[in-house]
Amino acid sequence: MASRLQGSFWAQGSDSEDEEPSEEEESSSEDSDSSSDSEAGARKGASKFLVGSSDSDSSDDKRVVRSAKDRRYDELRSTCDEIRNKLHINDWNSIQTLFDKLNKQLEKTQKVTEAATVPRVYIKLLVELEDSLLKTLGDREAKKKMSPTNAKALNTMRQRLKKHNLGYAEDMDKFRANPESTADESSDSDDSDSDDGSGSDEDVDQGSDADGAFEKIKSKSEKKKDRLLSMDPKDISYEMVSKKLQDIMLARGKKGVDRQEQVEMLTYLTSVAKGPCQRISVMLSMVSAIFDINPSMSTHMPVPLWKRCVSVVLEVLSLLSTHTHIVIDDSFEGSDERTEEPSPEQEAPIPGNLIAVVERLDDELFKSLQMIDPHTHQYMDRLKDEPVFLAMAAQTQDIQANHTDQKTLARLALRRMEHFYHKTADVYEAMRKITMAQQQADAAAEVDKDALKDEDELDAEVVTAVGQATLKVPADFVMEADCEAFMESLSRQIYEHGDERTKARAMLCTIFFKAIREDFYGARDMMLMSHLQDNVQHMDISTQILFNRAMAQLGLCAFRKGLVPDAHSCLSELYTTGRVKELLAQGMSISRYQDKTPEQEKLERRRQMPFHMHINLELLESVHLISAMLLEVPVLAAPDFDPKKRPISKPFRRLMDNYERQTFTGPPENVRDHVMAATRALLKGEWQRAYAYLSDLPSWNLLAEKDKVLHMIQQQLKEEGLRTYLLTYGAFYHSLSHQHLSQTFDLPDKKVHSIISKMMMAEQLAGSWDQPTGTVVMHAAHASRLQAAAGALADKATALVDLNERALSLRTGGVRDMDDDREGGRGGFGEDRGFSRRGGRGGRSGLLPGPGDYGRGLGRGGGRGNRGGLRSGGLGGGMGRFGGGIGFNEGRFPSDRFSRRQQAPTYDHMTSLGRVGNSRRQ
Amino acid sequence: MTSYDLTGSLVKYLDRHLVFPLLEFLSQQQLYPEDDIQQKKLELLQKTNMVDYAMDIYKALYNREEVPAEMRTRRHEVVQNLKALQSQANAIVAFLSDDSAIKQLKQDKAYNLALLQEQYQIGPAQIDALFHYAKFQFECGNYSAAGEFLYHFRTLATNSERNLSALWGKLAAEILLQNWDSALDDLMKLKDIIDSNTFAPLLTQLQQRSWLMHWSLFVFFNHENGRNAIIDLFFQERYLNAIQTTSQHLLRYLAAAVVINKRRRNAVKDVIRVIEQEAYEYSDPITQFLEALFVQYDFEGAQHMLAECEKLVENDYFLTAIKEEFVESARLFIFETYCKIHQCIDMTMLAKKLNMDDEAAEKWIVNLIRSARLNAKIDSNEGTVVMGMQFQSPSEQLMDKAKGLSARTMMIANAVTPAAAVRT
Repeated sequence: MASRLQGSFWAQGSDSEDEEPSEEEESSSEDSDSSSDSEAGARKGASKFLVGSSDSDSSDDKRVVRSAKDRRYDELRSTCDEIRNKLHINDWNSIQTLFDKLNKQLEKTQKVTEAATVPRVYIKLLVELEDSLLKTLGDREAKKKMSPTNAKALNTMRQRLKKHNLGYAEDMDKFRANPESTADESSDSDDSDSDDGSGSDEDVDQGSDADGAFEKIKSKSEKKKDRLLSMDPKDISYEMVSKKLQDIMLARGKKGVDRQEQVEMLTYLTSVAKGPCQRISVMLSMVSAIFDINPSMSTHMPVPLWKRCVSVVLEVLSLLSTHTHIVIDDSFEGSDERTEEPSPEQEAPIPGNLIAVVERLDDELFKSLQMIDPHTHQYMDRLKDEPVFLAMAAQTQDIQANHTDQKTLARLALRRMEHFYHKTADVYEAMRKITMAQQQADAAAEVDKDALKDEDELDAEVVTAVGQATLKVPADFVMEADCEAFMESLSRQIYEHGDERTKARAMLCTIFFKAIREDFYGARDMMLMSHLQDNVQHMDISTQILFNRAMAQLGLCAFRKGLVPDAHSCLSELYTTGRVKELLAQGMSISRYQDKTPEQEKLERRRQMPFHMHINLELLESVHLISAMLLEVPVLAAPDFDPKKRPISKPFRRLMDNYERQTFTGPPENVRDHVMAATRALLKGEWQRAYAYLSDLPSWNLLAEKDKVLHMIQQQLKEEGLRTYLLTYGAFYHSLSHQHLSQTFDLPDKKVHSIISKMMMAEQLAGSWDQPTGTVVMHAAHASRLQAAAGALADKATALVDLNERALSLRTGGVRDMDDDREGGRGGFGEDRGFSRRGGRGGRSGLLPGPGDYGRGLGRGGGRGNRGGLRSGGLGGGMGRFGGGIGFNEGRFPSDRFSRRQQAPTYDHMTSLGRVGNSRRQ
Repeated sequence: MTSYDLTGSLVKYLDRHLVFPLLEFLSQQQLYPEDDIQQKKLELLQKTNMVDYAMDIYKALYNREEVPAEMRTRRHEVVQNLKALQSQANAIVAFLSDDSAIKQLKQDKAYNLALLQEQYQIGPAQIDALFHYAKFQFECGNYSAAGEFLYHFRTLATNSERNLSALWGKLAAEILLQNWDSALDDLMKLKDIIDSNTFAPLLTQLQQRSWLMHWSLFVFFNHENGRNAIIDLFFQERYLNAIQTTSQHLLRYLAAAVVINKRRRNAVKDVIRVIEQEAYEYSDPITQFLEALFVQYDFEGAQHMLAECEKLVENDYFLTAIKEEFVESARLFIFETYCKIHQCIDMTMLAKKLNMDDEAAEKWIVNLIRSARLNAKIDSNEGTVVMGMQFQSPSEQLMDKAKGLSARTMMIANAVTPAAAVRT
């Protein structure tokens, strides 16, 4: 483990080759014992492509080599010392692990020095080890005393050492003969190993010593290649090709094999392969070989390689579609026995997993889009590869439809879906046009059909001519004109066969897709029906990001439709933490208070969205703030405004506070300033000024329907302005003319009437219409300060009594029915007006913020019921309903929700099928 | 007018036989061409066993004396089947038609079954046959017989699934026989069964609830106590969910029921909330009326919608009976709301809004004032109604707030003292 950490540490030190450490780990774990092997395997998980073998670019700088070499020698030495220490205390268990570590280090050292010799320190240690092992084994007494694990370790060690030392027997003998020789290990002089390698020739099977075997295979493959290359293609038999292929397959993943060369060799093999079946298997291994070239997960595959890989896969696909008897099946084993091309009548399975290949290619495309600077032409060019990929995926899906299980196919369908869901109709149309144009151009350019046949040569050129290479979109690939229907069919397939995660993702993609196509209700209902909000916290992070993205789009869509409260409830979650960037994976947010470990940072970087999928943050922020403003301003203006009450939008309130605390407010610069300035203006009822501020925001240009949205904002500002105005200044009027109001706020008479009536009914405005004169007559009398103070006192006293009652009812066992206040609230309808109002306001300014709501229930309406309940001891108070009460409080004070990093299921008032139940809480 | 017709969406949730009354009604209203309706009837009948009826319609529709051969063979088959089933169920039917025998039956099902087996040699096979026979009778349109058999079947059958479908069948039979009391009973029984079966797949539950609600329309709008019951049923959370997910059109009936129900004013707020939520899925003049009145406070719009509502109600099978009531209640709604936010209203304008002439409006208002539903006075000089508004002064508010406190504290004290006494 230590070595692994150090390995990644070096990677940062020498930037000339950063894929080196991981690759070395792989290779070292190959030939070290099984325990470390499985451990490394588990860590690297699915990416078996990664098992790299040799170092492709060994052109190290001299200086770097020097220092690295020294460091490695030092390490080697220190490990040796450690082993010696353990030897003294007979701790074979640790020796075993240390020995593994040592072997790894040795390989690294050898790589750096490019020497085949083994350092003297190592040999010395081997000798010592052997000696003490023999000694310990001879000592029966000591052996008996050992703990079972230690004894076991000793035995394994003995066997391992026996095997291991075979390869170093010569060196060890030399050392025993001359133990006093200078311990300088940089002497590269006696090179018996290389002699040995060149001496033995065609012998592959005996290779107990891993290093030696590598040498042999390499030299052999060189020889064979030469022979094959020089041979006349006609003379090459089926058997020869399959033998060669097998050799290469065997060499794959081993150390010291030049992967580039392997690929070239395979390329050649494809051209000489006999029959489509063999050709396909050669090409499939070529694909894997290409993947091997770039073994690191953190960097993306070079674009030309990617293209080459895609073209190979496309060719495989076209072969498969013409030769329908060939089936690619990843569960099939044992094609080795085949000695000649199978006849087209019978089904011919070939081992391989096309879908995994396609998925890998998708990952690489995604990664490269992450890495490439989005403001360059390169990025645009890369984006143009997308249709090719999609064509490939579509073909794969068609061809594999009958041979793969549905779950995997659903996964592939999801991959395809994820390329579409974020495209608006315009973008999709553009992509379609480009693809079609490309196809036409290709068809025109394709003068003779031979071009297709020589694609292998073309491929070779592709690699050499970096950047110039273009992939052709297969001519038969048709992008559906109707993207919606296409998405629909994909998602249907996924819902039918996919697993939970795939389905959830497909659902989110569909929601996103619907939202950007202005189908708010469709998207919302889907979100609610799927219950994704409830369980998204339990999903993987990338799905959570997708969820956040879908939510953001839903909010934007609601705003475009003028549904301000909906927009706010969608977006407010994203903005509670102030880490929008992170939540949407659109850049790293720098936080002062927490440091991320490099691993975390790396992971996060891997999750980033490519630029073309970004949701514009500025637009998102303005939409969020504006909807918060439209909701908050009338509340702020209300005469019974209570700062202790839970705000609708906390971030907005915070901004307000900050803004008001400033001694000097300059002209607005960013989104927040603009919205704040607009808020100020709106609070005074100056909707025109507020509108001017808001319409100044540059991000509106990003909207396709800019004018419509601006008009909507204007309309909302007028309405909220009117409400704010009435709430703020209403009390100073005796009567207000209807006409005057509609002129001031530039609203139609009807609208003004409707708004004012609504306020009257909701008890926000103490006034009534005087129909014959067309005025609003205000009734409210202002309370004097004494009265206000006395009112506050009465409120507190009420709260006190409430608390007492509650304490009592808890003591006596009955739990009060907290649903009362709902009944009370509803009971107010159609009765005396003052009644429900008092009921509603009862304990809001209660002593504690917690039971404040509880107190509300005890206002008059609910209070009466409560007293009745008390008399009967509240015993029948219904534990069942208590649950409801708790739920109610949760809904009100979801303080823990703010600490949650990812989206919590708010959006409360519309939650799920149970939306009825929840909305009653409001 | 046809755009408001819901028959199309309703029939999806109804039994074949229950659709007939709707079609009959439609042909009375003459909204659609008569031939179309007859054609549809014929299609409906094809799957039932009412072959003779189908033949009659066919003859009328195509003006022919002869009916196609397949109809006749079908008739033949039906008669054959009937005979076969009859012979199977003969034993039990004979038993059931004997009153004295029935009296031997007790509450205990196991006992009954044993009794039947011992004394009459009636086993489960016969009981099953009874079910099939009843079903067949129902298909033939012989609802009373079907209903009776199903009733007996239910007392004897042990298979709960069968029992459920028998109950559905019985409900349909009772509805078609217009026995509203027993239909209501069956409806409630069904509801209990559905609600208690929480382990059924959600989709099935949802489906059954929607069916139940649709069938219940027949009962609720005909039973005298149905107007409360419909509100109770539809506002139950699970049923409301079902409305919102599958059958938004039921909102029309819910809304209408709420409007005509004078005592359940609280329900108005609830129904409006649902209507608002579902406005993008479903809206018709009745929901729009409520929306205009209680959401937008657009009185002219409400007035306009009310006129539309009248037309709609007239052409709705379920609502047509309550038309007068509906219009009256709706008008009252408008007026009440209007008064609530006005302190002074011009009479002529009001009369116009209420769709009455001046005289009638004045009388109407006076009646309201007299019945103490309205706190207002008429200023005949100005021709206005002046509302008696009460607004509390701050000190009054304060008094109100403080008033309850001492009483409540006393109560707590009283409650605490005995408890303390007991402990000591």
